[in-house]
Amino acid sequence: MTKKGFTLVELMVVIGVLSIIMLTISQPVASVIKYQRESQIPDNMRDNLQFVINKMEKELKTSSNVSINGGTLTFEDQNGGLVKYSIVDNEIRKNDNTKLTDKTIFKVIDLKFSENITTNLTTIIIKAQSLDNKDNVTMQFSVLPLND
Amino acid sequence: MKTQKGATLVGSLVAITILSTTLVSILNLQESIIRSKFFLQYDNTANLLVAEGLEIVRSIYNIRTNSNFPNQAQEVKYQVDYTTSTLNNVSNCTDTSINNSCDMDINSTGAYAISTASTGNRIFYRFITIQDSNTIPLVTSTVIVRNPKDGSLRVYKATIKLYKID
Repeated sequence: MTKKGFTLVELMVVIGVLSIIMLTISQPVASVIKYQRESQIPDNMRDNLQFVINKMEKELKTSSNVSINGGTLTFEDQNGGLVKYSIVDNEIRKNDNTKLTDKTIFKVIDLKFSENITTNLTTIIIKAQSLDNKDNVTMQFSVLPLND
Repeated sequence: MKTQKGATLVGSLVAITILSTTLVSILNLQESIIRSKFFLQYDNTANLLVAEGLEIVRSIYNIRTNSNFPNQAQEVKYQVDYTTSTLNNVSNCTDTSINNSCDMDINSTGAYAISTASTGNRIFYRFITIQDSNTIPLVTSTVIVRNPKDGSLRVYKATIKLYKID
């Protein structure tokens, strides 16, 4: 019984074609993996900053006696408690001790507050940077307290 | 004597070609999905800027006088930023067409504000439309994110009605 298979030449042709295909495919695969790895930290950074801004917005809406001193915002919450937001050691903190961001994940490089004295609009600007300094994010929101 | 037939070279090559074409197509699709992450990376900021636009108009409305808030039924477009207490008319900015009159840039204080430069390749564009400002104003805040590489746009919108609370 004679069993017919591939010849050496045929095998080499197939292997050659397969190699070219693999090389072609490896480029987009590598870029996809690289992009996914690189985008993970900025995504976390943005989500974290969005959380911080939403938290500040919620509290500022029902606040009174808002006071701004550069990177420090203080106000009275709806229960009359004093609330302070500031940047300490590349982290945003509430009342000095509650960390809202973590400098081991990303650095907050600037926190600014400003108030439009005509409209009473309070603006929050946060700038953050990934630990490898490759990604920068600026987030901003303006809040008008409901009692204004 | 029985001969067992295998795949021919042509058959194998055709199969490999079909397989590889499929694989490359899937990978290209995945790559294009990831490329759309350009817009995803600005999603949070764009949504905040949309909401901020409404807050700014609300703050101007609260201190409105005859001169700083419109009083007309038809829809008018404006540009605002957090520093101003007035609405600046803009023209020719739509959801599908944007220009320098509605672009935003990071100003000297590090905030997104009305761009003062006449030209530029901005990422964020914002305009506010106010309709029925003579009765109960209907305010729509529109932020458009533009991909500078290919000019593609993504539109973010939010609308509120400003009921009088005098």
